[in-house]
Amino acid sequence: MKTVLHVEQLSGGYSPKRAIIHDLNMEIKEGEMIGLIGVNGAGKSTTIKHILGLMTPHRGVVTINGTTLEEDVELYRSSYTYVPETPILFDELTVEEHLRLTAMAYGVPQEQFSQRAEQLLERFHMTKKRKAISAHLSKGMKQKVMIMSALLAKPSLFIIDEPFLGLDPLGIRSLLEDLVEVKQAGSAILMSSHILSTVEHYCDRFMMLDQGRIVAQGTLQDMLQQASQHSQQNVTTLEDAFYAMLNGGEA
Amino acid sequence: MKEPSGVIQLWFERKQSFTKEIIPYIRYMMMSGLPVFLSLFGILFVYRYVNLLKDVPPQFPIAWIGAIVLTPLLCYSPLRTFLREADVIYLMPMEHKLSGYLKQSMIRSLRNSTLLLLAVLLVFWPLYRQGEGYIGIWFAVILLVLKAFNAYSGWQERRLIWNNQRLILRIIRWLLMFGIVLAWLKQDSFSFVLTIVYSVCAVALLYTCYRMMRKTSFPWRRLIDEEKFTIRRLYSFFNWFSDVQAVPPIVKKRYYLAWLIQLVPYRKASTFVYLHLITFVRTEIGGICIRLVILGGLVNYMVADSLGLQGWGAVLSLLFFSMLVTIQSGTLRSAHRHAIWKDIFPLSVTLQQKQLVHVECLINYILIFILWLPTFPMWGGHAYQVIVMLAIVLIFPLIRAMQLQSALRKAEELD
Repeated sequence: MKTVLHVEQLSGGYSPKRAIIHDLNMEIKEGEMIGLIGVNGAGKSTTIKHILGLMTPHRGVVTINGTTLEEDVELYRSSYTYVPETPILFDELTVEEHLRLTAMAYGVPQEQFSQRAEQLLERFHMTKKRKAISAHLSKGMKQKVMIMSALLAKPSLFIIDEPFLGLDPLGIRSLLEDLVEVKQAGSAILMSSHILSTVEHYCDRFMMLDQGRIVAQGTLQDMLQQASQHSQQNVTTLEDAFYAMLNGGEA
Repeated sequence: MKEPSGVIQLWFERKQSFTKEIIPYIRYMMMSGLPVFLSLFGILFVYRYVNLLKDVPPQFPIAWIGAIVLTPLLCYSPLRTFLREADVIYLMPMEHKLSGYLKQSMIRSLRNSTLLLLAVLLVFWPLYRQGEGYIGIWFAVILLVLKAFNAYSGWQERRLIWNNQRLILRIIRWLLMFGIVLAWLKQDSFSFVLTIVYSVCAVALLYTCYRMMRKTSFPWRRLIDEEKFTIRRLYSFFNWFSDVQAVPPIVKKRYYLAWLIQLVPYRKASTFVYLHLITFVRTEIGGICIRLVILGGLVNYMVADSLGLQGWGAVLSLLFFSMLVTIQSGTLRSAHRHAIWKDIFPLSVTLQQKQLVHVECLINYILIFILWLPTFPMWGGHAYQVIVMLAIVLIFPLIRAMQLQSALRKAEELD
């Protein structure tokens, strides 16, 4: 399978003198969903910002579909869509206009946009809100707009930061169903989340970050095995593995 | 918990902090050309007004003009409370102790709006003396009483639970007040007793309505929203003169301009045209431009019609308002300056800048063209002046576009 995201020896942070993430290596292939997990301040969002190209790395290389940001900005950016942790919308745009704006930016053909937008609005129970101005939406609805916009563009890589925050159970289910669908269609997904009980059923592999370093990675089985060895206990869930690895060896 | 005197102290602290915050912006405004223009405009107005007073035409509608000018000043009752979102949590528990706080706001707001009313009345007075009104100084006293009643009405309307009731009552109040002012100004057409009866009945009717309708004791949400709206409008105005701290935009759908948005073609190269055009239409950037175009259009018409300075007055007026509207539309460039999507969407910086310049130039062409239209009384003659005006319409947006392009390039180099 083709590699979509390739991160090599990535170090970086807000200050050029102090790195927050250190020598990260990761690879995501087509049709893979990777869970990026770690406590607050572990470096998950910083890693994501480096991949997005919002921060300049101190060291290392990030490529999406073999292209770096420096080589071709437009090609690099058109390869991913991003759902931020906190919904960032243009206050004056309606839900429908947001979708249209994203589709225009990503060069989605108009017929495809109309059809896909209808499907997404229906799936996320937002049809009645299509003409609503973003500033007047609830946090959960704003998050749905972010997710719909990301799904609309159908890129090779989805970068999703804490997608479940503010979503109702129906929204969470719709999102997960859609993620499975895009994964099956061959897109790669990098998702950061604290809802471990949910992501353990959906992600193919996990990367656990602590203080900017990868402390464990692999499939769920690999993670449970590593945690069991680390804590000398029988670890059966991702949540327990998380505690075991990051809580002084206690599951 | 603060005692009532502490609450009054809090009001003064907030007022002081607000004053401190806006002083730098007032300084920037003073350094701009606006005070000079306003002075020139004032001089021109005084000149025209004195000429009018010397020879008022027999059919001149003094009473109607008086009613049109004075009614909004009489009815408009703003209320600066300096309340904030967090007050819902921190001040709400002591709502019953806030009368002192509110009293300060009411006194200050009433004082300011009354002074404005009196200032305009003073200007109107010489014209009034030549009209049909016979009650002299008592007219001023009646206006003051009505002003106090309107301040009371404004507060009662804020307390109303349903927005529709509030809107309907406000419209009724404005219409009734217009009728009262007109009746007092047209004393030869209405009998004195009838005018008094009408005025008392109108006030009594409104008073009864306020008494009958369901109200909240303290309209927190409405006062906070009103305060936010005032601040945003003020900062939008200051944004003309300097880079003002980011305030969330006031968003209005403006259905009558929605067709403009529909004109943007669906294609990648128009992404930021689409975004900026919506921003222009729905935020105060466009709102202020629309008001400026209406005001500028009126002034341009008046100046062109009077052929002030042999027609060059209209040229100067068009130039000035073109500058004002383009300064205002120019704030569009900073509307999404910090938007993360600029660095996420697959559009190069050059393309984004090109689209911004394109949309701003287009908006400026439309606005300046509309400003030029009311100068039609001059189009028959004064060829030089008309040519200069056409040059302004055609060239001014291009100059602004070049300035924007250069500013964006410099900003990019600095980044």
